Order: sequence, then structure tokens, then C-alpha cells
Amino acid sequence: MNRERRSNESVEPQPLKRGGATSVDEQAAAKLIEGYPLPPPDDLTVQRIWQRVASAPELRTSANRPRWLGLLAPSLALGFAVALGLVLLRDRARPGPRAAPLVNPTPAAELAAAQGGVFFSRPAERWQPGEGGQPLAEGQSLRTDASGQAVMDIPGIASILISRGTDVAIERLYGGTFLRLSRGSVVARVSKRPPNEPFFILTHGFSVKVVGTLFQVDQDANDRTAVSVREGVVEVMGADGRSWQVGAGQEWSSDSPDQLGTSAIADPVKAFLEDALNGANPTDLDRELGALDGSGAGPRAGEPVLPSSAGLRARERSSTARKHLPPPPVLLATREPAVPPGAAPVAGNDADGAELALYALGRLRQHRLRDPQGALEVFETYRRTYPNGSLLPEVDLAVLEVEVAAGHRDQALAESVRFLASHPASERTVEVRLLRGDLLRERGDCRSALDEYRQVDAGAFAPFSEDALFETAYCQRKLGDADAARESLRQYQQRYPTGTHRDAVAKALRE
Amino acid sequence: MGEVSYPSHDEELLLERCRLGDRAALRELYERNVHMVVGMARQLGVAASDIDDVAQEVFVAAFRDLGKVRPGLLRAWLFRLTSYRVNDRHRHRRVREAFARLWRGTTESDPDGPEQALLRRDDARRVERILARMSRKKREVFALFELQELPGEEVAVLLGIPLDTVWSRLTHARREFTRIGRSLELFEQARASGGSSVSEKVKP
Repeated sequence: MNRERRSNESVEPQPLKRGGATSVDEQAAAKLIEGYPLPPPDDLTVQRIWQRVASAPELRTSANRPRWLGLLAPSLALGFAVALGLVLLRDRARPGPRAAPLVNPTPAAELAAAQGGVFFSRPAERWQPGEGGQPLAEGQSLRTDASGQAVMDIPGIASILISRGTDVAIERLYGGTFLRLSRGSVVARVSKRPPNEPFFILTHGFSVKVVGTLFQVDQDANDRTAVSVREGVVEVMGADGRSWQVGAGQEWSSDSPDQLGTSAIADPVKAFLEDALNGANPTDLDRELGALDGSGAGPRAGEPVLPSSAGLRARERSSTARKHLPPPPVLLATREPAVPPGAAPVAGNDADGAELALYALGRLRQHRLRDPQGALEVFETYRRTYPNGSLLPEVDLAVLEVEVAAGHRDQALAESVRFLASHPASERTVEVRLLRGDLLRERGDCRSALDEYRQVDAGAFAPFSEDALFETAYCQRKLGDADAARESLRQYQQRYPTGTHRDAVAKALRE
Repeated sequence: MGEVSYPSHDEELLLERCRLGDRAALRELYERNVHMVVGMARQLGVAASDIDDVAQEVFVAAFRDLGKVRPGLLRAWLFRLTSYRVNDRHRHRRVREAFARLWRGTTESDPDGPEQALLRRDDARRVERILARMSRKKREVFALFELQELPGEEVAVLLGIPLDTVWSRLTHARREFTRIGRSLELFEQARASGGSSVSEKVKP
């Protein structure tokens, strides 16, 4: 092997054991690996492994048989799924086209483990008991009472430990993850996120943006938010546009946002969440969840490893770095009473399942199968079948997304009008207005776009308000009002010094 | 070294036969590549006792997803499958060990039992312990360049990364290897035992 070749400026290094070691440690390493390359497997080993490979169920069904047989099992499964879908939709009250069956889609999120009082609900529905392994969808909420704790898994994205006395709503799972924490405490282990799929936790007055990290967010009944970061960096953004970077080992509180304390997320919690993120099976997770809480064969007695629902209070007790905080409030005096375990709400009916399945099928076609036309057909079916359905806001929003993605600007604008008229109280109106602004701006109607951006900027949190302010400046310049545009850009710099558009803003102000 | 290269048209033909469910072709594909997969797995730090499991997982996954292989990239694809499975194995082991420590309240676990503990005196076992703690990307470069002694260009092709990235990863991988070796006091142990050739004890 020719190891003398030069690559641009540098000479290809020699392997350690061929004289490439330059330090004492590397020489020790070279000596250690000297005898490591091992002889190839003998014939017996090769034969043994082949027997194991050939006897694997996957191969037994794929090799050495007519190809049409390969269609048999999927066909049977499809037939079964169609039959199941028909049964689910049979008792539907309103006439209309039948929904296509949903064939075991991979859940976008699931309740990986649940102990004690754990409940879930869809919008405008009653709480139902939650169990480990149960799929979760956009629009659903999770609640733990004083005896409950749970782990929510968003495969490949995050594992979230939900402490006692916590309310979390899943606002969005596709094209980014948005969770709303109404009260209580969550600890999240989030895998590294690409810029177009951010991970946000929204509280009453703040949004916490994650790039890839382990962190905890607490929201108490007095609208106080605290963020504790074990690894990585998160960005906390307030409704007033201010933002704070919280780094590894630091803790931030809305009470004194400019003074950072010390993070207190324990090693066992970190290890547990990483295990969950790596796909540990539910049985193991259940056991480990119990162990984390100090029950059974858990960690050393008395060791505060699991953040309680009163996370702020717990950490104030344990952290000397947070003495600047006022006395702890009564954290469990929540806005909404927790559901007592004995008063578990009634389960939903089949129509609920069919409604959810129809919506999930549409999302599946939209995002996983990249079939916008198919998705639109499913969403139209939903609208006809459930004109007052509980998932209608989500369906309307999904249709809007599909139209935007397909480049159908006029249809998208029409859908946005429909959404704003039908769901004026929805938390997603801000996003829709921002989107309307973009669509109008792209169409050249900067004056109308400006109106939308101003409404967003007036009432939204970052990052929506951040984008709105930036686009406001753009529209003002397009309309010939250079002074107003410059003023908007200065405001942007002041409010979002680390914002996404900071470079573009700086450049525009220099020009 | 288990380094095998075949003309791409031959490989394509073989792959097509495999995709059609020709069992003889599957066997041929297996026999052409099993030495490489086993060698790669060993060099990525899989213990001898786990080699059969890893090789089985790699080939089952490979046969299941043969449609994903691009012409001429079978070897790189198999390496990637092997590396990911090895990484899973190392990661699950680390998690198990962490929980074992947590539950037992011990500071150092010895999950292998007395027999493996005895073998631990060997250099091969020490290398495996270090490799198991390295990050996947650094482990890959270290194994291919330092253990398998492939030239940089070939490492770059196998990993699908630029040559300069190979060198920078190698620098970091060496640092990580020595850092872990130091922290586990494995270099001192190796010196104390005078080094040992272990190929007979741990061959697959």
C-alpha cells in the first residue's frame, strides 16, 4: 500500500504501529494494537453463521420462492386492515365516503411508559387513562396527577420524562416538534435537530428552543418558568422578544432571567432518557422508570434523582446557587385540577378512533408517503364526514400546509381565510397569519402582507414574531418607506440579537 | 485483511440474482463477504463471543434490503451496516453497565464474569474496551486505518467522506483512543503484563 502519497498540503500519516506514533501515549497505543488484527473466521464459523442467517424468519419468507408469494402476506394484511377500517366506520352517523384504512402506521409519538395516574385526551374530549405503548398524535394532551409519571417517546427525535402533576400538549409533530407545557415539569433528551425541524417547548410566557441537548423545563401555577440544561445549549425566548442562551450546567428562571444558576439534572435521569431514546423496550422502561423514582431496586435511598412535578421547588432546596429566587410558591395549586385516579374518565368510542385514524392517514400520506393529492383527498373526506370534528382545526391546517407545499398560492390563501374564520381562538392563528403574510408578499401584495406581519408581531412569541418583524422591514422597503424599514431592522437587532436573520439585518443596515 | 474487490458487473449480476430470491446467489454473496464483515466487526471492537450475532444481524439486514444497494457500493454498504450494528451493541452494553452500576451501587461493574475477567488481561480485550467507548465515527476511522491498515483513500470511499475528513477524524480518534486507554489505565496494565499475543484465545 502506498502511504507516501501527498494530499494537498499534508502527508498521509503512518499507522501508529508502523512508526506513526509521536507521543508516549501513542506509542503505548501502538503496542496495544500491535497484535489486534485477528485471523479470518475458519470454515466452521462461516458455516455456523450461514446456518443462522438462512434460518432467520426474514429470509425464510423472502428467498427461494415464487415472487408472487411475496405479495400474499401484504395482501392478506391489507385485506384485514380494510375490513377493520370498515368495521370502525360502520356505525358512523353521517353518510359520506368511507375512509381508506390505516395500515399500522408508525406512530409519530407514543407513550413509552406510564406509571400511576397518567391520562390523555384529544381536543374537546374527556381525559382517558393512558398506558405504555399507546400511540400519540398531534393535538393530544398528556396529564399526570400527583401519583403519575410517564415517558413520551418521539422516535428518533426525543425522549421526554413527564414528572408528577404535569400537563403537556402535543401541538405539532411534523416539520418540527412543538410541545406546550401548561404546568409541572418535563426533562427532555433531544437528538440533534436540523434547522428545519426544530424542537420547541412552549410555556405560558416563554418558548424554549432546542438544537440537541438534555434539559428540563418547569412551569408553575404562578406563570414562573425555569429551564435547566445538562448538555448542549437551549435558547429561551420571551413574549417581549428578549432571548437568553442557557448552556450546559446552567439553570435559568423567569424570576431573574439575567442570573443563571446551576443545573441539577442527575446522571440516572440522563442515562434513563438516553436509553429511552435508543429504543429500549417498554417493559425495561417501566422498570427503570420505577427505579428512578426511588422505589424498588432503584438508586440509593434518599438520592434526589427524579425531578418532581414541583421541580422548581425541589431544585431550590438542593441548589445553593438559586438563593436569589423568592420563596417557593405553592406549585401544585394548579389552574386546572388534576384528575384523581379514582375518577378516570370514560373511554372514547369507535367513531373517535375512526376520526383519528382518518386524520393520521392524511398526515401519513402528506409527510411519509409524500402524496399531497392523496392527503388532500383524505382531508376532504374528513371535512365532509366530520364537519364538527374535534380534529378539524388540525385538518384545516394540514390542508393549508399541503397547498403551500404544492405551490398553490391562491388555494392556500383561501384556506388561510377559512382557517382564520373557522378557528379564531386557535393557538395556531399566529402561524397562519405569518404564512398569509408570506403568501401575500410573494404575490407582490406587500401592503396586505404588512398587515398580517404586524398582527403577528403584536401578539406572538419568537420565532414567529422574529420572522414577522424581519419581513415587516422587507415589505416597508418594498413599499418605499426606507425610514420605517430601517427602524424595524433596528428593532430586530435590539430584540433578537442572536436571531436567525441577524446577518441579513446587519447587512441591510450597512447598505 | 479480508479485503475483497470484485468487478462491478459481476457484483451487479449477483445482486440481481439475490433480489430475485436465488438462494445460491445469496449464499455466494455471503461467502464473498463474510470474512470482511467478521473482520470489520472484530476491528470495531466486538468481542469474539458476539461475532456470530453481529454477522447474522448484518447479513439478515443486508438480504432484506438488497434493493437499497447502489452498484459498486456493496462493500461500503456492508461496512456501514456492520458499523451501525456494532455501535448499537456497544451502546446497549454501556446502558446496561450504567444501570447495573446504578442498581447495584457499585462503582465498577464486571459484566463478563470470571472467564472474561481473566481474558481481560489480554491486549485484545483492552483494545475492545477502548473501541467500545469511542464514538462511532472515530471508531470507524481508527479501525479501518490503524487496525485494518487500509490506505486513506480507501477509508474515504468506504465511509463516503472526503480524504481530509479522514485525516482530521483520525487525529481525533487517536486522541480519544489514548485518552480512554489512559483513563482506564489499560496502558499501564499492558506494560505490567508485558504485552501478550492473544490471537489464539479470542479468534472467532
